[in-house]
Parts: sequence; C-alpha cells; structure tokens
Amino acid sequence: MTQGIKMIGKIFENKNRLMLAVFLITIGSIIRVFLHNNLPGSPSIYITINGVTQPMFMLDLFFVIALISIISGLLLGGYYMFIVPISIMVITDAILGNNWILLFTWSGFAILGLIGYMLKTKKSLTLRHTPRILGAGIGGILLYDIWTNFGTWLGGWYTHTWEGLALCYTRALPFMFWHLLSTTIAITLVIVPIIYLKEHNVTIPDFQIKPLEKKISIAAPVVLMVIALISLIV
Amino acid sequence: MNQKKRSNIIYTSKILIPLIIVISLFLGGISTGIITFESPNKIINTGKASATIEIDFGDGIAYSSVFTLDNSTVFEFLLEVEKNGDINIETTYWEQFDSYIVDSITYQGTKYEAGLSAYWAFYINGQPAMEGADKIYVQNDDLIEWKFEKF
Repeated sequence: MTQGIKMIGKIFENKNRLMLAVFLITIGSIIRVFLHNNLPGSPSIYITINGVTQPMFMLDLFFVIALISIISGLLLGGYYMFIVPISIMVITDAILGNNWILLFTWSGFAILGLIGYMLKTKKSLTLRHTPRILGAGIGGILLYDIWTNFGTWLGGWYTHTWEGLALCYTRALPFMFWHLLSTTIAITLVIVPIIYLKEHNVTIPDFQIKPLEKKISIAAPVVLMVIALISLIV
Repeated sequence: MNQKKRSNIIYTSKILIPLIIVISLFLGGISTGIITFESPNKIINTGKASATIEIDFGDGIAYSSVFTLDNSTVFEFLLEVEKNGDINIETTYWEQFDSYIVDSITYQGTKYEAGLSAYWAFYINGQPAMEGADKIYVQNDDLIEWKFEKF
C-alpha cells in the first residue's frame, strides 16, 4: 500500500502534463476498446414514462470517458481538458466505428472537461469540496445527455416535432439514469483516493495555465458545439 | 451550536439529502407502478395481418402494395417488400437503441440514402412511431408509411 502510494506520488511529482495526458488517453482507450462488447446486460428493472416501457438502465462505458474528461479538466486544465477526451474518442471511434453523432459526443465530452476545469481551484481537492465535484459532475452529465440527445433528434432519428423531441428524451432516460449512477460512483471512487493521497503528503500537481490558453480552452467546447449544429443544419 | 458542528451538519446534509431524494423517487416509482421488476408484456401474437405499405421517396415517386404476414413487425413487412424484389434496403443495428434503423432504400435504380440532411421515418395509420420498426407488430388493416424526409 505504502509502496503504491509512493509510486503514484512519483508520477505526480514529475509535473509533466503531457505524460499525465498520455497516461489518461491510454487508459481510456484501452478500457473503451476492450470492454465495449463485454458489458453485462441491463438489470431487470423497467420504467414506464410517457407510455413507453423500457429498461431503467442501459449500460455503456460513458462513465470512463466522462470521468477522464472531468479529471483532465480538474488536474491538467487548459488545452488538455478537451485534447484528452477527444483523443480517446478519435482513437477508439477509429477502431470501433461511429457516425455523424460523434460531432455531438465529442463536443459533449469537451463540455465535461470544461466543467472539470471550472472546478479547478487550490482547495478543490479536499474532502470538504467533494459534494461540489459530485454536484458539478451530475450537472455535466445532464448537460451531456441533453446535448447529445438533441443531436440525435436533430439528426433525424425522431420526427422533427415536439412529440418527436419528447419521445427522443424519453427513450434516452435509461442511458441518462445509467450515466448518472455509474459516473457518480466512478467520481467518488477516483476523487476520494486522490484526496487521500493529497492528505498523505503526495504532491498533486497544480499546473499554471496562461491567460491565452485559458481563453482558447474555454472557447473550444463552444466552437465544437457550433460546428456540430452547423454540420447538421447546413 | 458551534461553527464546526454546524458546518459538519451542512456537509453531511449535502450528501444525505440528494441520496434520500433519489431513494424516495425510486421507492415512489415502485409503489406507483412506474418502476417494475418484470419484463413488460409485448403484443407478439397478432396472428395473420394484411397491411398496406406505402413508401414515399420524397421526389414524387411512391410505392404501394398490400402484404399479408403472420405475426410480423413493421420492419419485417419492409423486408418482405425487399424479398418481393421491389426494393433493396440497407440497415444498421444500433445497440444503444436496440433497434434496426433504415440507412437506405433503393428503388428503380435510385438509392435514397439517409444522411446529415435526410432520414427514413415511418408512420402507422398516420401516426409517427413511438418505437423502432422491429418493435411494433402490425395489426390487420394497418397502413404503414415510410417517408424519406429531408430537412
């Protein structure tokens, strides 16, 4: 245990943002590629809303990329808050395949990175601020699901009426419930050990972000969202 | 009450209150029947059904025919049109929706392909579908309309 903490401490002591970013990209890509077909089936819990009965949870690996996006924003900040999640998606989508919805999923993960970055303060990695991180994570997941499902509706999976939009969001509920449950648990399981390490004198790097990098990083998710919308509308 | 004790109560309530709300909503859902633990019953024994299938290609060209199939979904009716040699279809199974989506329908040598600005939608008796085509069983005298919609 002590040896493990020392090893992690050494990684953190080496304040190399690129190394940490590559580490996160590798972990995320490996998990998504190797586990995407090995998820267990949905548990036998069903929910009926708006006349549609469906499983309450539809399992996917969203929480892995979501967690890495938030961690990237929180620990690395700057350009890395969107470079890390988008790199994972580019690598894994190239292997697994995707379609136009990637415009929305990629920008959605960039939003999560931005939320992680907005949490980045000197005191954010303390036990007292854990509820704040969890709350922001939940808000980010809701934003991601609202955004990507809007893309699904706009992209033509459902009729372009209010009924179609309502049906789109109703059908998305099992994914949203799973995203909320899995990501909240994942954030807790990762953030608490990081805080533990910090409180046991392991240095957690605090990278300085230059003003220009900060501005570009904040603008990037917005630009990606606009590109996604324009691509579908034009 | 001293400051430390008060801040501890606030901290604990930040975790406990959302948890209590989630658990209450879940239990409330079970007691009202919104949440169940049994697979929903699906209508899967419709027997023989005759239905009109119309395909509107959106450029003035349309196809219409009547098919009779036993206990079949809207998707199986479309496959029947293909088996009949009238059209060719391409579909993709979307795991996240547990459904097949029509990518393209080729009719009289022209391929009508869904993309960024067009898609294949279907209607049952004039109503937009609430589920995937492979989830809806066709009833006798149904009118199935497939429309190549552009936006």
